[in-house]
Amino acid sequence: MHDAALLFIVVTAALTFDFTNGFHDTANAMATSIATGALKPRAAVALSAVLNLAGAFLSIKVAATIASGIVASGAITLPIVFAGLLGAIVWNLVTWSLGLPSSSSHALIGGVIGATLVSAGTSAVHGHSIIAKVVIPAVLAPILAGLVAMLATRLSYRIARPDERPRSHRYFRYGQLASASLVSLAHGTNDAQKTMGVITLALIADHQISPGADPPAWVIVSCGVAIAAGTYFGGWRVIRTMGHRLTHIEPPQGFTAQTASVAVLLTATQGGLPLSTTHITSGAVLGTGLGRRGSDVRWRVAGSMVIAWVLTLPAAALVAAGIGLIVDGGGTGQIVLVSLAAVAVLTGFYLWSRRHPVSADNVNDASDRFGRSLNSIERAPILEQAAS
Amino acid sequence: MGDYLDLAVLRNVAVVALVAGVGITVLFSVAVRAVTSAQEESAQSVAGSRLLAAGCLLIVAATVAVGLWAVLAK
Repeated sequence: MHDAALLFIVVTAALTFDFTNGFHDTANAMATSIATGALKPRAAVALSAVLNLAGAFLSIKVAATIASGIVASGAITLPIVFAGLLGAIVWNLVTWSLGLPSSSSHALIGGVIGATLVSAGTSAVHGHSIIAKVVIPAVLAPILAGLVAMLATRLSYRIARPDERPRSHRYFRYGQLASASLVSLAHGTNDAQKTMGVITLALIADHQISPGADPPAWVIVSCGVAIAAGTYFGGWRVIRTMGHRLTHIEPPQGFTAQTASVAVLLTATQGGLPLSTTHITSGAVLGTGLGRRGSDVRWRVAGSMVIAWVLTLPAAALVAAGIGLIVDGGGTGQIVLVSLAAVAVLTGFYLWSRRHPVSADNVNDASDRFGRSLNSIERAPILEQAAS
Repeated sequence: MGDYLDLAVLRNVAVVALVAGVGITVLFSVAVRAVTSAQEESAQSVAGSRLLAAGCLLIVAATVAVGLWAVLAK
């Protein structure tokens, strides 16, 4: 197969992943603002899309790719990157269709690991780095963000007394505009760069640019536009889970959850700790639910979310390994066939999701993705929910 | 865990995130309380409450600006 055609397919897959990353993670910044009425759903995703786009241009310290240190750099080829991206895209769509927030970065790492395993064997995968960059951060992020959000919520309710002064909700909604904008900006800065890194890696592998070079302008622009478009598309199912299904959120809680998320996210970025935005914001929402007296956290939904987090890496790895077996060393036919199959799977997910649509119009309805009330979700076992 | 992560960095991140996250929320809550109180108080207290709210919001804005600058300048 011509390298140019393969490169085109890899870049297309990377931008598709970037798009799914955007719509999957819209909830991180905007779910609480939408849930509390601080922003109308469409306005929220539009604001988030613009800030994600701006964030993509703020910094281009990408060159270190997301899988750097996790797999041997010499083992990464274009088919491996392609298989890793498809594994991540499929897992993003599975969790999106179930309305579960999960880390797109971990899905991508899992995909690259799975594809590398079938291509280069276990020696090319660095287990130590997986624990340091994936496992420990996945445990730390929600705990730290949850702790900050819980404490902040307790103090906020004690000081501002929003229960006695309902007028204060209006001011917390204003605060949410700022805190949600910061989360969106930080998300664009972090996540758009990960895809830029993947495309840069592909360009280096194809000898289009020299190792260590900055990503070309078209890469920065296309990644920024892809993540912004995905964000505007709106992952309404995940937004509903984060905004309504985990716990009932009032404006002061929305503000504290987002502020805690920004504080942890920016501090971790500054300290070089690779914490996932999704894990941070989900932990903060749970923390703020625990912090308000009389608030209820729906542990069944939280449990489903944690199961999705645990499964993210192995599931994406499994899908990518399967694809890697087909495309690694294969010819034009295999790669085109896999690409067509991937398009069919994506279309299938979209059509399946249309059976129970969640959109800007009904995202704030207090029901699950199947139109059942939240009380019935509480009584239904997790597996039954997933299977139905 | 020390084999996998620099525990000093982890401790610093945890402390700074806790102080910044809780601190900003507390300052904003003080500002909100001051503003809502101002709507129920005498004219003299209103000026004081508004000044307090403005001061708190200024500190919040400065903290956020410094935080963003620190991350982007890295």
